[in-house]
Amino acid sequence: MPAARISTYRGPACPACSAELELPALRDGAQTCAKCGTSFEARVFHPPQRSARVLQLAQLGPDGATSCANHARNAAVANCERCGLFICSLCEIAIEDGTFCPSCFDRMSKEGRVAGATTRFRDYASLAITMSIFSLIMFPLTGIPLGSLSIYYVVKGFRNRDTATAGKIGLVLALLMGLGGIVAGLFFLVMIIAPKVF
Amino acid sequence: MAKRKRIGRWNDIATRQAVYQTDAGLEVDELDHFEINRKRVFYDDILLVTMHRYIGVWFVVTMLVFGIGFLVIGALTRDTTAVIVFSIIAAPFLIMALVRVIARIDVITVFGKRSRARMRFMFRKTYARRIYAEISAKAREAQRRLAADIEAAEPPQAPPLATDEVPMPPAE
Repeated sequence: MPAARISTYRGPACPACSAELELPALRDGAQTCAKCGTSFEARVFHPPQRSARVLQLAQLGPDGATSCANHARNAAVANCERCGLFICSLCEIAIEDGTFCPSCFDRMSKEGRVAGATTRFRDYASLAITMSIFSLIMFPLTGIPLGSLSIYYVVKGFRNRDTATAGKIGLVLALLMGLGGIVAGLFFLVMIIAPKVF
Repeated sequence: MAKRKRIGRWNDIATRQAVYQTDAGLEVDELDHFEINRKRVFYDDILLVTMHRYIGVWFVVTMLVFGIGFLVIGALTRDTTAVIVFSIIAAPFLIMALVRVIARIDVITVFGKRSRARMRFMFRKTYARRIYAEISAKAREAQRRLAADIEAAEPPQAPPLATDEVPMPPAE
């Protein structure tokens, strides 16, 4: 299991020295950092706050209202599409796949089933390039296995193009080097087993 | 998955990041060996977008030290061939220092509520300016749309009653 990453981000800061900036005091246009004196251009935004309107059971009366499974005093406004739990507007997580309760959303995120919530990916393109280089450099020993592995990673890289760091050219190059490694490895093998062939 | 476009990158000794633009915001892919860690800065979460220019004094100093160092070593040998060879070795370092001083680096930093995206551009100044304007415009538009959505979702408030409509307590 990957170690939890500690985020050190603390909000808007000077882009040069990272000294904290007072956002309400900033204006659009040219700015100068009071700490390091760096001049920079800024565009300031005041994003509107989303707020959930929570319906309380006491407001709705005893009829026609069901309480939230997590918050007994809140009225349920939906039910989780995965486990069926009644949830209030505080618990409701609406994503492109449907509406879910927090625990189901957590589980789905960990399983990688929520595309928009996934934050860790395997970089198949880098793997393919590295394996193909090693297959070529050490072809007498690892040409065939690493060349085959690089071709496997190239295929995976093409299938996961959205997460690849290298482009199409990088993957094609890895494919060619991988094939080169396999051919060189086979050639070396034949030279050892049956040197009279050549 | 939403289609995305690579708009910039941030590479230094410790970090390799690529920044992509999507319909909802920016995605920052940080390469960690053979894994990619993705952070997202959504347009409707952006607090500040900045653009500044810097030289990078340490880079220039390092390049000058190497460049001048090789020139000095060449000069100390007192051999014409060695001087030429060491001058050829020193040239890239001196050129890199000179190019950095002349061109400088444009940096765009996007500060969100929970994460940050940084991009640097050495030669493509016009492109950097266009990206800066584009991110700012998209953030402005997304936040305006969000504000409108929030306002539309709010139930209409009953207008305050006129003074003559306020029921008075019964006269005793």
